[in-house]
Amino acid sequence: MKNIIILTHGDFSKGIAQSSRYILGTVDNMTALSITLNETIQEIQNMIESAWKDFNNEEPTIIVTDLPGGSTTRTAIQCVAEHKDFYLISGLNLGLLLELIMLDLTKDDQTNLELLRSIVENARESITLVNDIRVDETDDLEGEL
Amino acid sequence: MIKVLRVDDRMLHGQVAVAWTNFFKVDTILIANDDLITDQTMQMAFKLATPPGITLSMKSLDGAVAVINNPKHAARSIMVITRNIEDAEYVCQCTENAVKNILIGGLRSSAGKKQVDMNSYLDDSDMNLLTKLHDAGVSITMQADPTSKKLLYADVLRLFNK
Repeated sequence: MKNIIILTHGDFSKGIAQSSRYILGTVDNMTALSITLNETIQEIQNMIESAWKDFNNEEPTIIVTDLPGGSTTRTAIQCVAEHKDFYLISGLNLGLLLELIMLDLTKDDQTNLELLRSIVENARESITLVNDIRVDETDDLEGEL
Repeated sequence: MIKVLRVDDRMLHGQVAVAWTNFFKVDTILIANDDLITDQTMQMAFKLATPPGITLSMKSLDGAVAVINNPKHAARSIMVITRNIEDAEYVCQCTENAVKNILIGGLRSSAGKKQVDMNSYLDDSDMNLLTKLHDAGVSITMQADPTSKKLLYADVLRLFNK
């Protein structure tokens, strides 16, 4: 079990949360937060804290942000510094979010970091220039029959 | 072993590749379709849709039957996918009780089909084939994603005849 807070510029967070539910059905303990140009860093931090309090549980929390260099990530970094069981991943995409939703985190920090590293690695590898895919390598059981 | 046979007219897509493979913990996806084996574009799309770590095989109906009947693959946890119920029934018939569960998902509307579930439409011939499979002991479920409403054979029959 874990909580997910999606934090993005504008409504990307709400849209991608809806897309994930379209594929996986009901998703519990996930909140989508949007920032605009109007909030101060402190206000954004309060949004995150308040979303976390609303989960009202002892589970670890993953914050996912859109841009590593954006105010979303900048603020989230501060929250992570203040909570031992917060994790922060930047570079949101749908494949990554689906993997995070299906992930079970543990109470052990090192185990959780290992799990998250592997998901981030898979997400990085999933970005593809489709034109470069070779069509003669598509059947993994080819030649086995 | 065959964990499940999914019937879905989009075959391998997000819901199946992500939600159902995770739900059934399969390590192999076997798509059984006679058009697919000559359509390299579709093959490429399905290759892309396959999650990391999962083996994908795309075969003709008879090719898929050969995979299922080959004891060499017995250790795999396989999800078979067919595009329609007719193909599913063919695979079942040729693989002697290897398929114990059929999961019907997206069977979108076409002429002469009746709506049974949100994304699933059947005609008389589909319903007769499902009855035949059910009578042969295959468990029939209709469900879009793992958290949506689950219809069993009796529910499907009742809704179809409504």
